[in-house]
Amino acid sequence: MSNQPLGRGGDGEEPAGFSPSTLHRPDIFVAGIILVLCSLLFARTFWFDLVPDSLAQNVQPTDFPRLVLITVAVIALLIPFEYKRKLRRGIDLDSDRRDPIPMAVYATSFALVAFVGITPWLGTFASLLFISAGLPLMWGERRWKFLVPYVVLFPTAVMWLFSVVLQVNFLPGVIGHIFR
Amino acid sequence: MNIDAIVTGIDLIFTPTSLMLIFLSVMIGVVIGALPGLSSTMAVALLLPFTLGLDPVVAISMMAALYCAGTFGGSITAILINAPGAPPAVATALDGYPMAQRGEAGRALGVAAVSSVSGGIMSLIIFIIAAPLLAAVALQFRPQEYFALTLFGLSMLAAISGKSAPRNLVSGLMGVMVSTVGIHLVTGIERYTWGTTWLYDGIDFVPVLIGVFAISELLKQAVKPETTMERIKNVAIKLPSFGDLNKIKWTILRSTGIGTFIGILPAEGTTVAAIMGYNEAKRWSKNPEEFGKGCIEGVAGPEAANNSGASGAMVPTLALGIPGSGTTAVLLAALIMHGFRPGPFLMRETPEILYAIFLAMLLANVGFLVIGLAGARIFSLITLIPRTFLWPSVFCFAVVGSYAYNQQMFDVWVMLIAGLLGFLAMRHGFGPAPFVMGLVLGDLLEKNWSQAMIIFDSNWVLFFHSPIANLFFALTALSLASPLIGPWVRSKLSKSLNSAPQRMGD
Repeated sequence: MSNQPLGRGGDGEEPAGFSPSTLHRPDIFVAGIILVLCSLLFARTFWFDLVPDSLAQNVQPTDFPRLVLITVAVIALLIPFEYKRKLRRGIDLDSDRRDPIPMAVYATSFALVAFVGITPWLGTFASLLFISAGLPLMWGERRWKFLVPYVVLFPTAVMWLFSVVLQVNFLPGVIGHIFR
Repeated sequence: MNIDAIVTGIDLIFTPTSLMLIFLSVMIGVVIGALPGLSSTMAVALLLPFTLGLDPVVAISMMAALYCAGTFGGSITAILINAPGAPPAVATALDGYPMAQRGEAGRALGVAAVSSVSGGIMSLIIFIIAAPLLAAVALQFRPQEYFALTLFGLSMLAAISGKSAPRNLVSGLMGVMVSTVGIHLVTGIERYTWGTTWLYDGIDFVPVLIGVFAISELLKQAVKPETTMERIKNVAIKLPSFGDLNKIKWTILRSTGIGTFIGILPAEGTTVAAIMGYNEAKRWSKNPEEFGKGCIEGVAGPEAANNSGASGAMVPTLALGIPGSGTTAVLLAALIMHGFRPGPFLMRETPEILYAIFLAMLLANVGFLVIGLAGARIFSLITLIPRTFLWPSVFCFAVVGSYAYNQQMFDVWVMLIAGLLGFLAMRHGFGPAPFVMGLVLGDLLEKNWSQAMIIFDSNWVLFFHSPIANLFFALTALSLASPLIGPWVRSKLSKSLNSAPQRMGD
């Protein structure tokens, strides 16, 4: 994470993202999400089974999680007030999130979920072949003379290492076991 | 000193297989350390599943050696291509790269290697003395003292590197919350299992660690363009001359002390140690104006500090069960996975692990000196591996490594979900290292709190009847307040320094 000081300059302009109010809007959402999450998890503790006090020995299963959640909620309330204070010290809390998440990240995330999702059906080895080909191609790799040997050799080496050397049983999938 | 344990440790490490595995770990550590974007923490997390079938002592020694080598590996690329492979090497690049640009790359690498090894070996000596002593003190701790110590360890997250103390604390406490999933140890009640048997045993560290470090970084790399770095060619490694060694000897000693102390503090780690090592080297230098332009003290300071910080961080990890850094949090998880009980009981029950780790880190220090000096130029070529091949490879290892742990797809999904959520959280300033610290410490925190509450019959006031616990509570309050107090103190100091010349002139 960088702490690049902002250019404050002498032109009197406020840096991009500077809000005149004490609260910072993106951080209000962040704090809100944390508070909602804490509330849901806190509410869930009421669904935990009850234990007689004598068996619980003064330590109910709900006690510790509730304490932690209350602490998280209290700290989360400070988050929206941080931006302005940090900005005065030259730390921009928005630097990592100012730009929207690029489409490539969404595509990669979807691809990762898809790869893991098809693994039980396709089998681990085939899935690794698919990943080794799919991700580079998605990221723009078109040097076939490197890509083809990589797709063939790398997953094979990984599967051999784990199946034969480390004796891990992988999912056979549609192509069955190759290394056993 | 337990002679039997020393001999057992030596026996375990000095076998051909163990030495080969440790050497392999050192090579992997230097490579991983050299690669920007990959970290020792990620490498140790990915290595964990590989070590499941190995002797536990050898497995932990491999990871400790990798940790040591990774902190040095980052300096190679920091010096040769101004792309620090590891966060602690950022300070090394400030003077190392300017030296390389004026044709002194070999000298810079030589200084970095010698400083790293010197700092590492000196702090290892402190580690081997301090860890058993600290463990002996910690054996006297009762649950309330341990609770206070663990709370102090978590509170140090407020001062860890990162932009925001509240975010670090929230991240750490969410890690603690994840550790509560599963069966409650005291009552046997299911917590947050949502009616599924997959969560009865809780959420395992390993898939989460792999997810938050490897997958989050993979998603960040998805949009990075390939960069062509200006490479320093024809590097001839040169060991520092006697004149250079004379110039940097006090810098190395000072930085070793700083690095070891910072490493021993919970949660701080090698990055903070390296930055402080650089700042202090500059402050004490006779020629501070040369810093940033290629000064060998500017290389020696952070290098000695970051490597000594690595050994220092092992002290609380082994002696107290409180991680000294993000990577040692992963090492702590590895110790637990391999059936060890980190903390003072480790010294009592399996003391050979301490000496085995000491030997492994000593060998790693010597190993990366040889590898670094002999192969620095080759290691800098590692950065030529395109990200389009590097990161899919990391994902393959992440999937296979997460699966291999328990041989169930559930862990792979945990890894992926942790990575996706980790990426989103990192965008908003919630770092992975505090989360991992919380996840690893959560169990210890709750266990000691529960034990103390049982002993005290729910009278929480009795927590404050222990002077040691009160000391840790006070340190906790101080570390929580430090993000607020620190800048205020600095501004008061700078105001008083600025006004002093005016008063003198009156």
